[in-house]
Amino acid sequence: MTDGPQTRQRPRLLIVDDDLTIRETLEIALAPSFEVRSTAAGDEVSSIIEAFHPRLIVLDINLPGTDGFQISERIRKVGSSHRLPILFMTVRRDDRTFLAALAAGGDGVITKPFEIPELKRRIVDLLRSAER
Amino acid sequence: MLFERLLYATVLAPFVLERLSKGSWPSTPWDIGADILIGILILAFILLREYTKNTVERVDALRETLNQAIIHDLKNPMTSIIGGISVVLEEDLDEAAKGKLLRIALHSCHLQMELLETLVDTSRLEFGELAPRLGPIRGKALVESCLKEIGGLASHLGVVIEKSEKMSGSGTFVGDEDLLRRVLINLLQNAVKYTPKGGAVSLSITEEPDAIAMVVRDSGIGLSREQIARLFKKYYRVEGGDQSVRRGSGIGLYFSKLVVEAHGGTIAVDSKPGSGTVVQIRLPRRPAGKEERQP
Repeated sequence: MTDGPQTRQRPRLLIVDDDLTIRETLEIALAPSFEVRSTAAGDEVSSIIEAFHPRLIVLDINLPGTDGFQISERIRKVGSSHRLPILFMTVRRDDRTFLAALAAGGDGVITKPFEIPELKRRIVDLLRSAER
Repeated sequence: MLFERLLYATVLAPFVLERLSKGSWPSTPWDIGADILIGILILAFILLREYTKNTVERVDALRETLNQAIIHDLKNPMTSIIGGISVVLEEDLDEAAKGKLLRIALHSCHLQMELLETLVDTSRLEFGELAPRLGPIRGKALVESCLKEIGGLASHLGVVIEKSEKMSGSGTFVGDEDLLRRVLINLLQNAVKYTPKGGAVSLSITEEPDAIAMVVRDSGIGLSREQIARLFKKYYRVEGGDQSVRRGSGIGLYFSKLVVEAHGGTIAVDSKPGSGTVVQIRLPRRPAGKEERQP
């Protein structure tokens, strides 16, 4: 993956999920193509965005306390992260969840469980859309 | 809604038409009393119907929420299993990374099995289809095996583990070792998750004249009275604590209560916010159970 014609830097991703095994799996699996940080704490997302400057967030909907939708709405209210691509993760497959995700400011939804190549394709598609 | 309005109109219509046809309204105490009684009955019918409808809708909503919680807890480990294996098969990773992913996938398989077994056994206990299989249990060995099981989690979260065991004679008591071990590990995992770094969790088994007391104590965040009241309800989860390792399914404490009660014992919690928690199990010296296992 390249960040642009001038650099070969890996794009930065932020993974937000309360499940340790999922965070560890995604960190290892995505590391060859992306620079990855992860957190379980929804409250830390804003400060991590400011410090780490991810190009995309992969965000679990079902988090304890503040859920993914609330975090997304919070991100969309901040000028610097207003257009940051957000890919939601969820176990749910229904249309209502999909529509709620879009209404909360998400750019896409991927349903758990998924294969990593599929996740990577979705991430690449969103990054390309964001560049246009 | 339209059907209900038609129903009410059908019930009320004969009453109103009867009055209109007479051309007069109630005048004697008997007529007035009868009309009031009819009005009360109609009102009671309407209120009962509304309450029943609301209750059914609330139960359906609760059932849907609980189903989604269980589906979430079963599908989440599948993500690291399917995700990890898909990467190992398709991607060009070094051997160390592949090994890590497969170990995570294997661990998730165990977590999945553990949850499934708890769900199945909970259901069997609820319907009286699972009774404790009684046999001699060495208290010291039980304490050590439970603490060993959660040692990794405690170390990861920076929580100190302490143990004590006060048994007389042979140091054995009677119970279903497998079920009780699962209960104690569940209590210890909760204690560790809800204890901040640097805190302590202990497990003790004490022989008393008429009971065996097992106590899990922690110096954690503690529980409010409202949380204690709901703690052993099915699918209840206490928010807070370190959920970054593994979020509870809400079934473990309910399962623990069923196991203890199946032994003829009791389980009780003493806690205050900010002051840690003590969970005490008391089992009778001769617990209820199904059959004697030979040592």
